[in-house]
Amino acid sequence: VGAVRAIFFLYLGLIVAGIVLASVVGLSHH
Amino acid sequence: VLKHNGLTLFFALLCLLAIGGQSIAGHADYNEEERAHARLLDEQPQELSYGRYVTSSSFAQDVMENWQSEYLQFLLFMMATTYLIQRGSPESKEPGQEGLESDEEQKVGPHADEEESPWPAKTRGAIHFLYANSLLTLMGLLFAGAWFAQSVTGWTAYNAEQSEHMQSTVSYVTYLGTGDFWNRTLQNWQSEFLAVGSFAIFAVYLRQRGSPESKPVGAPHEATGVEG
Repeated sequence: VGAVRAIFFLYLGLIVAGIVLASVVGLSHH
Repeated sequence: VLKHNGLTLFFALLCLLAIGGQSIAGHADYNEEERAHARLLDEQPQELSYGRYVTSSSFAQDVMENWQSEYLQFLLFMMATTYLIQRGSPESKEPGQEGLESDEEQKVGPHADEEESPWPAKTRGAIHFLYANSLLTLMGLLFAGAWFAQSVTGWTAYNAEQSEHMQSTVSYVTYLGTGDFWNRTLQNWQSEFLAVGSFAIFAVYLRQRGSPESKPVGAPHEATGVEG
């Protein structure tokens, strides 16, 4: 059950990180 | 751990491999175009290093425009399957089940399982409402976030190209009205909508033995909402 929770947060963390990083990349050149 | 989480770990691995491949191919493609461009203008090509490419708006835009459409797909699929029916499809509820269903069917409030139900299912009010719509909410937030990320990376990449072509750059709001933004957006959306619709109807008559996405091989074509 601990592993399932860890994978849940792994997915959520990577997806949110990807979206935030992409937004920063897009905005940083202005 | 592997045996019990194979499905999600398999797709996480595939995603990382595909993004790695995309970054290599995208880098090669970007520099090839840059060289062709420079030849045409009789200039020195401004090639990007791999590290610079993967942190470029061009790469981020290519990733984000696909992400947003996937989460839009889940968002709409979840909303549509709550209220709409497709007779015979394993992805659909049975006719008559449209809507949010009864508290009993949803195991909430007094119908929640004392021990096994998640605690917000047993409560009432705002917390319950948020939890009862949390999956849809997350898909909506990820869609909005990825679409926003596509828009700002697309804006930056678009302006870089405009400058390179000696044309004037545009404001963010102007970019949101360009053919570039909507062409990229809609070309991703159309494929998601087609995939969902075609899967829902194909699964009425076709089967995959052993898959929960399919009806059991021997299930009748008329059977709706049964998963294998």
